[in-house]
Amino acid sequence: MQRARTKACRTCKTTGWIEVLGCGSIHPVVFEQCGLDPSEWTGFAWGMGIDRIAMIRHGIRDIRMLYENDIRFLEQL
Amino acid sequence: MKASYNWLKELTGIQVTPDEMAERLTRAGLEVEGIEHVGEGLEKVLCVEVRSKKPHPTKERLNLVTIFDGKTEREVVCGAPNVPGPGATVLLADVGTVLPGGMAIEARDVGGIRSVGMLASEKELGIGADGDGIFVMADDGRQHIGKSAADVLGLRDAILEISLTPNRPDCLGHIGIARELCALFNVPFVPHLSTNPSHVLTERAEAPAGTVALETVDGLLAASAETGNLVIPDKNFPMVVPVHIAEAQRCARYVATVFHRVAMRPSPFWLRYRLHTLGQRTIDNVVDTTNYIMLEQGHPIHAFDLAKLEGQRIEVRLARAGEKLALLDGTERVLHEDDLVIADATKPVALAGVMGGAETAVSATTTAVLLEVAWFDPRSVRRTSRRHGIHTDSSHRFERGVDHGHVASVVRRASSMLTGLARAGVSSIAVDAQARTVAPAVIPLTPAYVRASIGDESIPELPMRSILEGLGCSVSPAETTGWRVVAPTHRPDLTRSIDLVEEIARVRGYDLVPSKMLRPEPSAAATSQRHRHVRAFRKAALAASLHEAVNFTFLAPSDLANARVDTNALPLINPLSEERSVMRTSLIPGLLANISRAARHQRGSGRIFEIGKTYRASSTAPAEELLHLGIAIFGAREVWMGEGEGVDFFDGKGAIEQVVAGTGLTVTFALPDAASLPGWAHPKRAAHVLFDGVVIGTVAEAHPDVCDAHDLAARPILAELSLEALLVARANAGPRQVAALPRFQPVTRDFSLEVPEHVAFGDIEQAVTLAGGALVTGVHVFDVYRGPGIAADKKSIALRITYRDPEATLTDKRVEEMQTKQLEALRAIGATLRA
Repeated sequence: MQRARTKACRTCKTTGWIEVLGCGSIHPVVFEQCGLDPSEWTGFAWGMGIDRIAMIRHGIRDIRMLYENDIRFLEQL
Repeated sequence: MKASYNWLKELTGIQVTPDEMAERLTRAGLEVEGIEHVGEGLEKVLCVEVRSKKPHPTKERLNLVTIFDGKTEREVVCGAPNVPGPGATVLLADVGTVLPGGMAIEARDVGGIRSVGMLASEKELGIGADGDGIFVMADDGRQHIGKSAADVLGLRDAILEISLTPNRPDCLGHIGIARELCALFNVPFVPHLSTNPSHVLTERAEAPAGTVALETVDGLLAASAETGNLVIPDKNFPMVVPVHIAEAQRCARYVATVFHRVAMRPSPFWLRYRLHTLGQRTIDNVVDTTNYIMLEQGHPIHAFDLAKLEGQRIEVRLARAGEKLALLDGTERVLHEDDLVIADATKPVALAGVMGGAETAVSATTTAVLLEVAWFDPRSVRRTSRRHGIHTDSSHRFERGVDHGHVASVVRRASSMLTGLARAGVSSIAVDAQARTVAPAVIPLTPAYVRASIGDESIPELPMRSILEGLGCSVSPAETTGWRVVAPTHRPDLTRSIDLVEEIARVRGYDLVPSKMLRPEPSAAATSQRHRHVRAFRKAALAASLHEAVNFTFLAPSDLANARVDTNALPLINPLSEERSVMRTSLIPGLLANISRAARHQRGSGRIFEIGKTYRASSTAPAEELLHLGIAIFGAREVWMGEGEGVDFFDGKGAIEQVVAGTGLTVTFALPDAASLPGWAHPKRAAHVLFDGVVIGTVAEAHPDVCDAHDLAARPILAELSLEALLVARANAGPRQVAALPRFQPVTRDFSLEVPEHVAFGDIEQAVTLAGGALVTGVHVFDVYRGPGIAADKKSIALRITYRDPEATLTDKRVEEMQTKQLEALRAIGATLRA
């Protein structure tokens, strides 16, 4: 997700980018821990940090608001 | 990790801009988060010669200094206490310079004397920490007079701020980053570092009994003419110190090197400048050297004052119960029996791999040094570091895994620097205690596996091999097929074939991995029906004007106790904090926390719910996870005009009825006996929630003790029920079915009953419905009265009963028959018609 480069942005460290969807090949150790044979199984995993997406989507300035369950916050969503 | 662009260029010989370097590193997974350009704005700082100085005529403590800038002489006013005599070279910030602190230099009058420019200190120029006096060039700077200080002293650099993943301890030193850069830019890695000591002790030492020696320089004495100066040993100190490792698993190797006749003094400018730009404080030449070696080699090393080591021996052992150690950070720690320490003959002198002791640290009076270069087990260092809450540059590196293969070369490199900077004589041998060898990983790899994992059949073998070799792996043909790859000791993260594939993909560039569009095929079996039913409850709760809260599933044990819920909770093995150390057994503590938060913010009323899991120990599974619905209603009821009354039990009961009805199911309520109620419920103002005759939860006013524990003035209404049975029922129920609309009119009758206090409406409803049979279609309360005319232990309830026969018009006679039976049934539970 890219926005205009601004000097002041601490979230993106002025790169204009923030990571919202980490992804990668699944490490064989993970399959072994799940009792699957990694020579037989491969995988690709990805996931969104839904709190970050929610922040962008709803204009939430502070991520802690998502965990505080302040009634004044809950009533707005 | 801060890395100096200039330093990396020296080590690699690669000629690219800082931006290009950063870009390439970032693409290979070493994210450069920022580049700080240092030495900017110093163009007008000149090297000038001091010609003369005299006191300021009117201002005390100020000097008038005549300087020569290569072209002309001029006078500047200077307040520094250390203005040197004629002939010395100092730095002049000329008019027009803007110092890093923001101060602009201009010609100005100081006490009637015009001063053109300013003689500056390291601190003012941003090139060091010394702000006590002006910068004076150490050696003869006359040849540089009039030149830019930035050029002469090498003050321009770019500092790369690299965000390293924990698997890359090798890049916690410039050598490691240089090696990586060479692999990325595909050039050979040949670091040109001096490893010859400049001063060697004249006598050849013998290894102490029971120890092995490492020659700090091969063929040392024979090459003495080349290596420079010989130093006569100081008879007060031994030339070798025995080392004993008692804990082989925690310390694989420990090399102790002895230096005599150490001249403690400030480090030269180039070293101080480099440490300063990389964020290290400068202390003295010995400590600065150990820090420099750490930043260069990525290997933390430590210098002890040999005179302070009792018995002049080193033991690597576990701390004993009750042992104390005063550390370099000024604190005294009581050691734990699991802490690995470096000890002398009597006491611990360092927390191994974490921090040195204050007592044995080098100081201005030190004349002999014992230098430690060791390899400690990452887990051991991490435990000690966490236990004592000390995170240091040293523990940061040992925790991640320091290279155990380069110990000997670090010893030689450190000896070379220390002998040069402190004019110390190094002993010809160092005692090398090796408790065990850490074997390098041997990994099988086939090109076919690499291609299959990356998804690109076209990658040739040669680049695969050269990438691995560039990173320091040795690649040889395996016995049967493919390669046998030996991982370099500086890469403890390479243990499996897939790790090598990652290296190949990374260095080639992730942008070269082919892209393929995913074509997922929808599958009915993949959608969770349970999820659909859970969502129905969530929607029904929202429709009942409840707001959804989502609380953490980890709590403090005290949260459970304060909410009077089951405290027999599953503890976390590795909690982040005491506040989040057990799994919740109930949703009530979270909801109570939300209410008390609202109360603190003067938000006096609200309706919230949470649908979430609760956790209990189970004999069959690791844990029993049950999905619960929790409801909290507090404060005043919302009314359209004026102020509403405070909520009571019936608001909670109504909310549950509404939520469950919204999903097409029905629950009933029953008065419980106090013993079966959960602890958070008020013993008198509570009801059990039943589904299919089984208790699934409770709705109640909060227990007064719970309100006190949460500082709540008004008692909230709480409810918690298990959704498990309801979810199963809903899954089995199928879609809602519709009844035919009635063709005949209903008949209603009103009753005013006098009922004992303990009889609940539920009992009345049941009696009336059972006695009346299928024709009773509704039982509603329209008034409850207590007071004059009614006995003290009784209440009056006004009922409206609706009768309807779907097949025929009801006659008065049939209704009266039913009424008679109903009144009989009511009498059986103590309810009588009011006169």
